[in-house]
Amino acid sequence: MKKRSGLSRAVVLMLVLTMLALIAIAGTYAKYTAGATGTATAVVGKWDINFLNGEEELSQNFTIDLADTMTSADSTNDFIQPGSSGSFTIKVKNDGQVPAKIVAEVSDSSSSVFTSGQFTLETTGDTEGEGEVVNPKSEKEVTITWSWTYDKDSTGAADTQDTTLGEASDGIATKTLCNITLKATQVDPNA
Amino acid sequence: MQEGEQVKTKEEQVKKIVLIIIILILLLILIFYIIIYRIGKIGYEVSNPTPINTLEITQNNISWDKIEDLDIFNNPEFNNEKIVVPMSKGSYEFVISNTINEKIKYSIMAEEVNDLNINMKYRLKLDNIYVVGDKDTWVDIKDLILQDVIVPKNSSNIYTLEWYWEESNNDTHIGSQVYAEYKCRIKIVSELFT
Repeated sequence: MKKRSGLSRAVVLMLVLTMLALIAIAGTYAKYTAGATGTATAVVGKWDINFLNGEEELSQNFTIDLADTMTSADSTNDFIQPGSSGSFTIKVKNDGQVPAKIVAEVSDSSSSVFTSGQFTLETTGDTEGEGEVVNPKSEKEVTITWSWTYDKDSTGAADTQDTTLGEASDGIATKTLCNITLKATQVDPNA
Repeated sequence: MQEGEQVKTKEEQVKKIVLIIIILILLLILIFYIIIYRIGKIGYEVSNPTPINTLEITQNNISWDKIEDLDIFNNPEFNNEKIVVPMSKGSYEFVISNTINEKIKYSIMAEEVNDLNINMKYRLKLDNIYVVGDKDTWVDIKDLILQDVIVPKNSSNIYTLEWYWEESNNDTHIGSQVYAEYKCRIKIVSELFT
């Protein structure tokens, strides 16, 4: 009986050893790994647009007296009126790395004249509202043409709006008539 | 006679047990042989095994090991310079090859160094079929994960990584910085498929 018991123990021991060895192999295989890492770097393209009046850099907000820029028949006046039109030029300097398109927009809602369409702005080179494109490391003069349409529609609604604005005027030329925003937008590289 | 039979039976049992022990010993020897000659020496730290070059990852047939900066962001808009701007997009092809004679399982993951919060998006094609994102969907880099791809012995997978800078409110701020940089890291981890 003792002999059998000793042999049984030996068998159990061998089985345990075998199991441990199998676990060791499994563990070693499970850690049989490799890895690779690749890194990519990109620099962000520079955006640097400046607006200039001649060589003078314009601040965020600047004032232009539209009466001084009139090209219509009433250009000798120091005020503007329905039917007046004119233009002014701003230099746009693109010191960045991406092309920019420039558009001028009326950004004033103080009077219906500026929101209902009888006061219009056009930017040179602007086709279908896309704006004038200024390429990187270049500068371009952008002309903004404005017009206060004399006869906007046949219903008389525009005339009423014009009259309201005219009556509200105190005739002082320095009074801000409307705000115009010059906007530079990155050209869509996928367009 | 009965005693003689009992003695004989006991001897046969002992012989069987001895045979089992011999078989187990041989099995153990075989296992240790495998450990020693196939994996490495006994006692080697299994938590830090010698990396085995099971996969080769290449870009234009050049191994990633030999490339310091991958060409992911080479941008045709800027003469293939690594320059990115809002709305720009690009694609990058790389190949993962199993260089050994056994099946391998691997996973792909990615991370970015993006201090300025560029709204960079990604999607991934395996053999020209989207496996992350799709033709209408881009994902953040944290979701650029592909797990447990099995590649047969001596085979390759061709991947196309597509990137896109989606517009966001802070684009002008980012572009106005004196110098702004973005980094993307692609990590591939592999193991034998058993």
